[in-house]
Amino acid sequence: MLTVQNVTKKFGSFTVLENIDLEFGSGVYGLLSPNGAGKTTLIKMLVTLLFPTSGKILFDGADIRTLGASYREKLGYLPQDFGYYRNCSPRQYLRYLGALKGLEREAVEKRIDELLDLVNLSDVKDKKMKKFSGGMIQRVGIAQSMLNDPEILILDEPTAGLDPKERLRFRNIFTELSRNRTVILSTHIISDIESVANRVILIKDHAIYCDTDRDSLSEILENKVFEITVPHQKADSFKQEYFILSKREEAGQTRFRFVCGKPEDLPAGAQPSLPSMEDVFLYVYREE
Amino acid sequence: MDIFRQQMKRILGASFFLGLLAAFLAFDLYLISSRSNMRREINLINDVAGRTGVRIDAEFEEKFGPILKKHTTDLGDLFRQVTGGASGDTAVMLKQIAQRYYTLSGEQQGRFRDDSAILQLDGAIKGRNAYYEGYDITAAGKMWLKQGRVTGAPARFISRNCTELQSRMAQIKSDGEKDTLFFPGTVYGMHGFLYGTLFGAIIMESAVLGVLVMFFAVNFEFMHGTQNLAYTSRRGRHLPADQFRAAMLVGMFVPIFLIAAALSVFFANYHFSNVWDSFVSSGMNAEPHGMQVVPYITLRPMTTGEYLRANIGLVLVLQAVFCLLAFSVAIYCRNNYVGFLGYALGWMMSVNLPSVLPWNTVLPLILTANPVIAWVDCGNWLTQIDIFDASPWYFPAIFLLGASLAAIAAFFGVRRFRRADL
Repeated sequence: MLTVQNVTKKFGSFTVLENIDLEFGSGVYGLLSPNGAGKTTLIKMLVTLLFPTSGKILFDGADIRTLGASYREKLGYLPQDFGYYRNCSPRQYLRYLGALKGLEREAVEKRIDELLDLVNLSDVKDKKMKKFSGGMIQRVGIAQSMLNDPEILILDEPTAGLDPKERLRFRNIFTELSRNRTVILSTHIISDIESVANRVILIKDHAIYCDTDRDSLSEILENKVFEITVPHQKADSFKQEYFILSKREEAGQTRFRFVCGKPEDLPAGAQPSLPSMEDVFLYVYREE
Repeated sequence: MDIFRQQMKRILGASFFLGLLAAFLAFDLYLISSRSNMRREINLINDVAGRTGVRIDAEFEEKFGPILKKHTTDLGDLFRQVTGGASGDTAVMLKQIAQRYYTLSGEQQGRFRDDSAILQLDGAIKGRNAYYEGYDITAAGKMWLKQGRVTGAPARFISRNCTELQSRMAQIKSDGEKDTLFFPGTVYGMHGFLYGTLFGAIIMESAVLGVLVMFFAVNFEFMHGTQNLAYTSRRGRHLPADQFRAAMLVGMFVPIFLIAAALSVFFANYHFSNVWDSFVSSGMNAEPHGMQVVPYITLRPMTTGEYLRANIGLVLVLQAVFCLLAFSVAIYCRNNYVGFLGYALGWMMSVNLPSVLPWNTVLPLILTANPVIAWVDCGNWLTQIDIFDASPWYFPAIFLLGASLAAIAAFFGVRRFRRADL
């Protein structure tokens, strides 16, 4: 069990995160917020690249700072931007990272073959990585994060910059990997979280806004999302009055999907709709 | 072990490392070849030393006499062949043949060079007492202090060194060190060339390569953006220890390789085999130093062989200090370009700062004891040719000071790195 206990992180006088309390057990956790909200800072603290200004991060009750190597050996991490050695092949790259992770050389060779097969890179395992596409590099990244078969797998924006087909492939891999381990998936791509996360954590104003299971998240907007079709000439005034989630043109009229918190303010003709995770995201971060 | 092996592989496979090592070796070989015009004479004197022994005494005179006679006679014959005139004063014959040198056949040129070398050697043997007899270091020191208006602790330090130097000179005269055969310094300058020029180049090259390797290894992950992966691995922030060990080993390999390669070629071309037992403080081993020609006065009696071994040892210790200093910079500065620039600036300041500071304070004396000055001064190591390093504590002080500063900086750097946000 990984516990974030009253953690605050400041850079100089700027507070990035304040009094964060979280608990991560087995399962997939989706860390969701717009860019710059502090997701990466939180993740970097979980992987010991950054240290909390105050508070503690505990693994099975012990401070990860004092656990040191015995904590890091349980960790798999795919950073948002990770470097690679351009003149190395995936096999050489993984071999080196395997050594850093303290794995036996023979075990590493076997594991490299398994993982490169999993991420569909077996046929290029001895090619230099400088010729790889962004998606291929990202797949090497996934492979390295799984090298030590980690108890805790932390993935920071793993699908950023990938095309839809590759994202789908990644989601399947995450689902595959999430059995019997803690997977923390940080992203601002809602569909990724929607499809793989069991639990969703939203960060807002340097703090945890909500920490709930995926299905309960939509309760934030329960009975508050509606759809309505209005003539073009009234569209502007309608936008001023309600928080618009989306709009589309339909037979010379505008169809709005919007949020209305008070039943007495509901316009005539509005039809209730089931809120999606994207609706919740847009509503929660409406000021950002 | 596997991490260390991987680090070693990474350094040894780096193109800059192999390229610079090859370029430096080529430069050293070029330096060695620049003295090839003296090869014949050097090897002849070495042969003479083999026949006569190196201690200049009555027995030596007995053995050297026939050699000198043979070459003097040969010079007369050569003179008659070349000029058609009768032989006479050797100096005149040498001058006149030298003027016709390029008209001589190859065989005649060889004979002339051999005869000249032996006659010059004879002159150097006879004049070996001149440098020690006429060299009053106490008076020279006093004059230097007066001209530089040096007072206080620095003046006391220099005066004490001059007194010690004078007493060491007396010892050299009495124990016969000055009466050993060596290649005449004023003619060939082999001591200055080997220890000042060649060793100076090797020290510089080794330091540059050692420092670059240290920066390359310690900041490798930062330069490739892989720090997020490397420092969250099991090895984590202990990784610089492996990088340091690998870079240090390669850093120490560089001078060993350059010295081994350069000295093999040097001694294959310039034979020293019969002069290893000569003393460095031989009266013949005097070279121009500033406005004067002065002998190399070793801190204690040292043969040429002992001196070479001691210099090789000191080069290795100095290289270790340079590498340690580079680590202490690299662990603080994650940008190799900035780090190396800072290191180079520090290097330049170490050379120039002491000379611009007033000598009435102890500051220049302290700042002079730095590893970079040791490199500049490499031709004079373990000798009292210079009143600044005329102290047996000079080298231990330099190495101890440099290594201590680097070790302290490295200790705090590593501690800071382990606690820092990355």
